[in-house]
Amino acid sequence: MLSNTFNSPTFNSHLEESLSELSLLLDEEDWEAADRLTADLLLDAVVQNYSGEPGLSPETEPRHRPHLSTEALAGLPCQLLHALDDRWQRASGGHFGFSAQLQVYAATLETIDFDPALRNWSTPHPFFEEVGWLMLLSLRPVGFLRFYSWLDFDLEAPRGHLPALWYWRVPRIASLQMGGFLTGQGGGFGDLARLDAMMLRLSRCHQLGG
Amino acid sequence: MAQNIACLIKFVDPQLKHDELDTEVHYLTEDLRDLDGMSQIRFDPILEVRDAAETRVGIRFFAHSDLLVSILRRLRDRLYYKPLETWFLFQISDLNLQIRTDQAEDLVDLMATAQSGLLFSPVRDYLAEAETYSRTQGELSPTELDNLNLLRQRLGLSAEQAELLNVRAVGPYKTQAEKRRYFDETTAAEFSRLRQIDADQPFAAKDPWPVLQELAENLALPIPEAEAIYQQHRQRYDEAKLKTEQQTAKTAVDASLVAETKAADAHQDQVQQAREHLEQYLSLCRQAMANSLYPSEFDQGRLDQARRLWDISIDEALTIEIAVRNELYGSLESAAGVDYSRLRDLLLQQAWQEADMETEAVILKALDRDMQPVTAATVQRLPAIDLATIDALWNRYSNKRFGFRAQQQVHRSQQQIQQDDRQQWLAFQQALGWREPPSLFYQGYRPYHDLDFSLEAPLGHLPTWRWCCPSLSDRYCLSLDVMAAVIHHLSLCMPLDPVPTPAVDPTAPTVLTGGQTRAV
Repeated sequence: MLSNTFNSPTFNSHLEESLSELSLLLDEEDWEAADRLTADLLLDAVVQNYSGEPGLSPETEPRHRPHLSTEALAGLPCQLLHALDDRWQRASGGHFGFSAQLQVYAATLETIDFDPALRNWSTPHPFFEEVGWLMLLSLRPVGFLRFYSWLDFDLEAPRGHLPALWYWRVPRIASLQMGGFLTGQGGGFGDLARLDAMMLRLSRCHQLGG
Repeated sequence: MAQNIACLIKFVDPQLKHDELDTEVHYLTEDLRDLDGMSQIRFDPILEVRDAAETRVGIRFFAHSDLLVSILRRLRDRLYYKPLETWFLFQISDLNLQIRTDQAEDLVDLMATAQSGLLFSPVRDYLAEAETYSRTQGELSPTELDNLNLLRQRLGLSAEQAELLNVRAVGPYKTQAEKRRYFDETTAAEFSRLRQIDADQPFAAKDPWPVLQELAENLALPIPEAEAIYQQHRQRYDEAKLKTEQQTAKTAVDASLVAETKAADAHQDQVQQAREHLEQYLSLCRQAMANSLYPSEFDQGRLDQARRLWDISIDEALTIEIAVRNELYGSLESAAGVDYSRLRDLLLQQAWQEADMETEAVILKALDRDMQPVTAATVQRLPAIDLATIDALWNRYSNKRFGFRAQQQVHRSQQQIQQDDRQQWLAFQQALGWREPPSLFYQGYRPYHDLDFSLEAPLGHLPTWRWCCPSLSDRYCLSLDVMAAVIHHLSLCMPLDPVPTPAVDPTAPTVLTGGQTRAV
């Protein structure tokens, strides 16, 4: 099991630094750098979780180095998610951040027509369309995500467009499985399990906050 | 022997005309002659030449010293009535007193002196001697009396006067014995007064010795003697006081005992009454909540009124309301400090999907692991009480269709049918309606949102174990080890009845076919 060593003092002081650096980047509206830092911090937390119980990590992650897998997302520390979301929301006036994404996601859940067999191929999850992560081809979007470097790193982007790298940064092999081009930086069809894992995690953490 | 005083009164006011002067002198003479004992006195006019004519300006006479005070009083009254500047001269043996005034007040001081008798030196001298004697012994010895008698004759005092002066010197009590008796009486009175004060306000009384000492000095009673008398009384007083105190203490104890018993009785009555009120309130609560989880506004108003009428505190009322609510709608016991009231509300409203999500929330809260999903390793941390509460709520509001116990029963019936472990879990999920049979291209997982959130769902369909899932949207998928761990933990927390036979449990095959029908 992933243990939570989020509260260890060394991690905290390091985290404080990183969070103030994030605030700085966000204030400068350097969205891309802020997005990278956000993904780094999430990955750090995952690494921390695995190193907390070293006996378990080889079993859970046999081949890859730790990445933001479905299981890893489900175990992200709520405190960290709140902290990151708080910085993003404040800098963008609620336009970017996990909360914005969760709101968009929850709204799409109300309308989505679930068809487990077909959904991934013909129709993308409406969330991708809403937040502007889809590659727009001709008139109709297909379930094919943009390359990471093609995202809009400014406030003109749709609501919940950023942070995005937590979703794009996957092992090359996984991106191939999703129909991408082995870049590990997007392109290909989204992995709904990871998206939902993140959103589920966010909503669970929200309940903790009360 | 009477002493005579030469008196001279002369009007010197410049405003008086000579005829007026004559009239004034005439009236003055008449006034003085009018006094008691003055009728025999001869008044000689003082003649002066004014405006070439002889006029009376005043009078001159000799009067007995006893009459001095009354003469002065009469003169004073005249001055009050008519303030004329007048010259007074009194010759008392070798003493000359002269006053020239138009103010009556000036005569008042003189009157006081005259009254004290000190103006007359014989009296003064005699008294001084007598006081000297009395100071030494407190009384006049026969020798001293003889000496005084000699002095009296030399000073020309009457025997009666001397006797008076003796008494004055010695004080009101002539002999030592009388003084002692008087002192004794006074001391006794003083101590009885102290006792009175003690009774009214204890510890307020002061030691009366300084006052008594002063009295002894005034009486010219020797101090050691006075102190002996005082000590005697003091001792008696102290003993009495001690006794009284003991008695008071005893009565106080008795009184407090009586009061306590009374208070205890009253308290018991109150407690009894309060208990009755609480019971009445309880039944009222039951009535109010019989039809709705939260009483209507009208019922709430009635309850509020009753609460005030029966003097029940808000906290008590709230406790009762919660107790009644738990009794009528299911208890919300929690070892992990989780609030299950929202879950109960949702289940009461038959909002199955929301209740299922709330179940996830409360379970993750009860687990207290940063809301991370439950795993095979952490499931055993879920408190049995909390699981029982959740199960009871689901069971109650689904008419025994849903809940952990129902799921356990389904699992047991599958256990009896399927031998292979993997097949057993697959059948279990299918029986619950959580999964469809897998095919070559389709694993058979149903998305969470596709589950059946209604009372038509298979037995044990809800609550789902979504609290074990890291992700839900594309499929509701549970790993085998998690399922095994959850079932194991449930069997420990809420063991089923130990006599399950297939015949007794007819639901199992039905559910299984239901699941299979679904798959086909």
